[in-house]
Amino acid sequence: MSVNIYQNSSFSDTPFGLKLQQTITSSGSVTGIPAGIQRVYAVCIGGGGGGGSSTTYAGGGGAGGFSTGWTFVPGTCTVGAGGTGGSLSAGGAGGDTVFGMVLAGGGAGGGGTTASTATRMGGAGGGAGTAAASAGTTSYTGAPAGTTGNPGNVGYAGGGGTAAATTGGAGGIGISSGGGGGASTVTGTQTGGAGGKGLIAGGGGSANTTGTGTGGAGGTGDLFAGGTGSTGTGILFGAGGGGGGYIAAGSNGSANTGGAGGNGGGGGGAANNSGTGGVGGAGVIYLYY
Amino acid sequence: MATFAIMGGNIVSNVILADNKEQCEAELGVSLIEYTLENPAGIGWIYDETTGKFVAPIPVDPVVTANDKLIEAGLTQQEIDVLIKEATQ
Repeated sequence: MSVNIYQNSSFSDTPFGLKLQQTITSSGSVTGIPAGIQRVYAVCIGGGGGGGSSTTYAGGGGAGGFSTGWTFVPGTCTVGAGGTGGSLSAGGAGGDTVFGMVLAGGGAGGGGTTASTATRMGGAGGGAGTAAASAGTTSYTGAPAGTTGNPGNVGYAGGGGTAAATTGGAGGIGISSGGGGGASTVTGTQTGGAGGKGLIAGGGGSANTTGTGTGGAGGTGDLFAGGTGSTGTGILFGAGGGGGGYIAAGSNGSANTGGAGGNGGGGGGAANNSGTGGVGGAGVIYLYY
Repeated sequence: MATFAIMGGNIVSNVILADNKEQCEAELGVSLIEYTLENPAGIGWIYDETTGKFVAPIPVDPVVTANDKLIEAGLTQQEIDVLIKEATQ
């Protein structure tokens, strides 16, 4: 079996001739750059947003931002953590990842009973819970973001999907896609909004009903799949799946607990009732020179 | 690998991954507080030194609050959107 590295975007979206030299997963001093290397090509991915949690509507977390470019070699760098999952609250925003002058914001947390913290620097928006969805944010290069909607609107960083009865709004498509919105009514069949499709994907929203509830699937990433939402009859089911990350697939939702976002910025899935939202995928830095 | 909140006063300015708290604080020149799944933190959250817990900020957006109250009253988002559209026509 042969492997073509140019089918892997972590190689093929960099200037020809460069090699992946370092993968940084921890904040602190930058070391190991050979003397004479003044500029490096950095790929930064922010942490994914955590999934929200609510007894009614809860949204999936947005994907972490994705930024690439040439930069000087800084003395230190920061790697954003994935946002924490909400517990009857919004999910936490993912952390910002910074290497020199390449910056990638974390994804917004999914809405729960409270609104999530706004994201920044290219992070995607979170899906709506009982609190409103959040929009994506303009990237550090100025690429436009998507606003909220049903489905969330397309942008470099997609907007979060709004909440709705029967089927939650899907997250907006983007390089970093938005989280899906929640679905809720007392009876009947409910399906949470799916995370948007993207290079890095947002998490699915939850479904709350005494009937058949199915959590929204985590968004499908270009490199890795999203997790499936949990399904079943009654309020103990309906959590959303985690979105596909740059490094790993999103986890499946399980009963009331949202699936974790895939490592490399995937958004966490939303939780239902007393469950906890899925944690967002961790950020990462790749250095080429 | 552990998760840490970068503090600006008692407010979380970023959440990061790091191997060693003291070393990372010295290298980045910041103040870090570790957080866990049991004591989660997020950007914009407030650290309470007395309890050692992170507390989520209270949302202040009046539009969000009104939307929340209508959903809590039993309306769907679609019904709220229709009401807003009718009221603004």
